[in-house]
Amino acid sequence: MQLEPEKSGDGTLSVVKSRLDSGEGGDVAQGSLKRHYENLEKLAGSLRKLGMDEREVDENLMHVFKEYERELTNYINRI
Amino acid sequence: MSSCDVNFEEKRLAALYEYDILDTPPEESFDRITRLVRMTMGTPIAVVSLVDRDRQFFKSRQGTETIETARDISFCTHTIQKHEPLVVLNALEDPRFRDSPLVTCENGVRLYVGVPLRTPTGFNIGSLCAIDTKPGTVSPDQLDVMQDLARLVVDELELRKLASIDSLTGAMTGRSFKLEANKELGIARRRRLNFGCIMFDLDHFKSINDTHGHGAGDLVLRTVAAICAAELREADIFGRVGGEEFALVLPGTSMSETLDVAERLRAKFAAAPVVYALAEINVTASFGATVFWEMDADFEVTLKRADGALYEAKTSGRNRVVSADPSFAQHAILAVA
Repeated sequence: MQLEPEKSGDGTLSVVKSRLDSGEGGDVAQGSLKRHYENLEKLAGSLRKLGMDEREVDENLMHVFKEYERELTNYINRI
Repeated sequence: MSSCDVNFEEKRLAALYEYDILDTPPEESFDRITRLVRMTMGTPIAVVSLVDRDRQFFKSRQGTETIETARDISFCTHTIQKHEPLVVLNALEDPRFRDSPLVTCENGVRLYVGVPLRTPTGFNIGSLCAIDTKPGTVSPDQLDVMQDLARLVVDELELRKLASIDSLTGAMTGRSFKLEANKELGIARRRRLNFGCIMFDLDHFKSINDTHGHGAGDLVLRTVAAICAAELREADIFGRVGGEEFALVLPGTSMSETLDVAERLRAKFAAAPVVYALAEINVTASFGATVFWEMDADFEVTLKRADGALYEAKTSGRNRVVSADPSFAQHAILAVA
């Protein structure tokens, strides 16, 4: 799986990436997580262009990822 | 609409219905995204709109109490026609929208930005929208953020489809429940076995939410689901098919046994008030029960029959079990007495 190396300050993206690297949940969960990682990465870039600093970008990514992660964990725990 | 358009619209609706999300309550996963829309766009209103056959349903809404509107007056029905965002800087100056009741009403829409929610299979099932009651401007960078957030909404929908378990109650989601129930129906038909089907709906659930808050409502749902989980056998199938509506499939169960299970659950709910923030909340439910009939073309038919009996239970006073089979009506009445 080829993913961009993490940028400094990308705390949330590194959390997502570590879950990807763990390979948990099988192909279906990994496919979903990879798509989500890519979409979060795009969002990070767009928020930076909007003038947010790294801390704000990371807070907003975590804001979005937190619930997704909860649902994903529920799914993984049940397969 | 040409026959080709009609066909496409039917496929689009099928793609929407696969998510099994219409008429479900707000969820934090979507609300987090609409809050971010509001912040980055600087608009007072942000919604996730899902475009159904004749209406748009707001799965998430910030800055508005409206849950749904008619489709023919909606902006989103235009948004889903294209793959690019729809940007209306001042609806009063746009001939497509200036006469819409959503524009002409008090505090009507002026600025509208809608990004289609495009499924991986290529259907626009709704849109992520930023709305203002004043005309405004939108920068390309803001539009980029909206498009990124729309993709995240679809991620959430896809994940939801993936997950077969309702995270609040531990019951199956409606979609998974129906898939499993249809499998059970196939088995019952082949082996000429019975199976029971129960639908129940919590009585006055809205007033629990209104009086005690959503935290109390969630606790009631979890409690009821826990009672069911404790009562049911491993082979039974239990699903949350609506906000406060649940359904059960009981393989190898006769009508009489199905009614017994329904009555046992009814009595357990009624005997176990939920305590929330020092308040004791009485919980009752109305039940409709049936069994699979050989003439049932699919599980939807069986479930609809149970739903009809549930409706009767509601209209005849609530907190009771009603049988969809007339020959068992007396049994149901006795069970409540």
